[in-house]
Amino acid sequence: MRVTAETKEATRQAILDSTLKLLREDGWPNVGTREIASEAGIANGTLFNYFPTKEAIVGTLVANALAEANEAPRTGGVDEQLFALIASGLRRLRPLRSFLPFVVDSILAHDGDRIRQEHLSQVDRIVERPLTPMLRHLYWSLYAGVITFWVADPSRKQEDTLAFIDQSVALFIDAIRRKESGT
Amino acid sequence: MNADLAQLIAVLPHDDSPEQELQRSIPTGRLARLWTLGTLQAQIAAAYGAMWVRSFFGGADANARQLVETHMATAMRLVGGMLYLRGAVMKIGQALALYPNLVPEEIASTLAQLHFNAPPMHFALVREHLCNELDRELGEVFSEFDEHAFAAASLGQVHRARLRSGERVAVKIQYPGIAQTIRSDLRNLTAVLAPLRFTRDWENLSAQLDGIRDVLNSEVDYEAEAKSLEHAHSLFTAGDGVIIPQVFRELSTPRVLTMEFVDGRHLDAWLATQPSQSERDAFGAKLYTIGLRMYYAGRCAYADPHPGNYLFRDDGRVALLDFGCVPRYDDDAWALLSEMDAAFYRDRDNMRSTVAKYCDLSQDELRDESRMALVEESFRWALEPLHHRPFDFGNGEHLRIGIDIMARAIAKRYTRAHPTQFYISRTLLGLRSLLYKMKARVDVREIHARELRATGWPWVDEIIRGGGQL
Repeated sequence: MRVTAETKEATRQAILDSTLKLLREDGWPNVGTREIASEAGIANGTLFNYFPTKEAIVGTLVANALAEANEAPRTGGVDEQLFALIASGLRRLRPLRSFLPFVVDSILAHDGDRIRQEHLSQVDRIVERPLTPMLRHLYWSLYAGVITFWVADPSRKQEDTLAFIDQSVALFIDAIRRKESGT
Repeated sequence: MNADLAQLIAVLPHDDSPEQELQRSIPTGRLARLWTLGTLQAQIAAAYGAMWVRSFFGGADANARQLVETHMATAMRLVGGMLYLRGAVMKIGQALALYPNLVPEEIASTLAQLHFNAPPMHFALVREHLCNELDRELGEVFSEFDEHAFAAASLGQVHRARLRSGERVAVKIQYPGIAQTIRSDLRNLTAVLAPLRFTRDWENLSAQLDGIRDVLNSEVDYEAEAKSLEHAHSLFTAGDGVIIPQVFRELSTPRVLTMEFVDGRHLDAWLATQPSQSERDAFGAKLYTIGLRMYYAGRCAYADPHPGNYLFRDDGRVALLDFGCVPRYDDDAWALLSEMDAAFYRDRDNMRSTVAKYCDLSQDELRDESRMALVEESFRWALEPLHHRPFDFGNGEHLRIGIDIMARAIAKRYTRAHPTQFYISRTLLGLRSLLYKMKARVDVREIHARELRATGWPWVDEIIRGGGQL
């Protein structure tokens, strides 16, 4: 029997949903692909047709959450729009925050490509000018820094992260200005 | 103290990078604005610092003096550059603005404006911060929310809004993460000032730093401010003509303070309407009542009496806005303070021993006649308005003498006193500067008698029953 595209998508979604549910209930160390497959009602081997590792599943959860944030409408100046882009992403990631420390590095390194391309295209749209490779690199470093800071931010309601985003954005905009005025 | 401020500013290190030509479509930047503002404030504060240092080192050799001045200027520039310390620099500026005799008029009025010009958080940050703090989307709480701040608090900003239930409110929002950063910024500042440690004025300088730290620490705690507001609110009745905004507790957190929105004119705008003498006097009496009511009935001080905290209303009422700096006295402090009052009014013979206790003076210090003379002079100054009915605060001489006494006390390092003294002199001098600017005449004696009677202290009744006057 051929597996239809819809069935495939439904299975993929079931794996994602089950992973999120189990991770939130049991915590990162206690959840393996076996438990996820069982929760999703599929054979353990079937799961590997969709995702090679647990980390890859979480990477997709992260990418999906950030993609939703990318669609949010934005108003205001460049600094305000960049702030909103980053902050709304974190808001979407919040359900995943407790287990992101285990995967944030590998996500930014391995699954980063899709996330990176999609996010930077939003940045291009907001700043309305082509960014040099160096500025793109600077932006991504700041962005990865924000995420890494946020997952481990011990402050009340992660308020320090808001200040961190605010100042990172200001730094980035300052870098664009310096670049353009040739200093 | 009459050094030419402009000249002082000119010799201080200034920001070397000229304002850059900015690209049009990139926002010219909170960052740039922050630095500009920081620089202006830092220069003024630095100039003040230099004046202050010169007054100490008038006789010292020029090299030593210059070294200290350079350290001071570096320190002040650092203060100006620290994002979070802009509040402290503003505090220094506000304090200066209250002393019109110390600072040229145009600088004083620039300083008086500063608290309206602090750099803003943009709305995206405000919204995110508020949603986190209130655990709700803004639309669930507010039917209207003005995206632009209408006032800058020293460590945050204030937005107008309307609740779903219809009330107009002012929402004060603190820049996120500020409390912690202030602590480390102050540590850095103290480290930079370390070379001053072996100079005569270190003790005083570090006392000033402690003062700034206290002010900042109490200002970052909006829950404490909410409590102070509620406490003050309970001290006044409709007949007092004083408005203390009501707090919306369920919409307040350590970082967010939601309170009743109150309309009115700030001091400068009110003075521009050229109020009549009787209007000036009536408002003056209300300000004096506020100070004494909070002291005698509330056992606290309205210790930040700078012009931006008062609103003058067309209906004759006065509103108080900022309760970030309202120290309260515990039982021990209050016992000592009421003993001081009794000594003032009743047994002058005990005056010296009471003062000794209050100022924590040693036997040697008690025998130091020049010191005791200054102490007595300062008490005479504090009580002088009681001897004139009404007292005309518009005559600048009284204020000048008060500042002069304080300057001499600092210069001779006679500044040791009970911890409550810092706020009490700040309150008194601040209030009288305000009344001077208002050119108000106030029957201080009558207000004193009324507020003292309300304490129920037995000696107050004794004096009145004996036909005496307070």
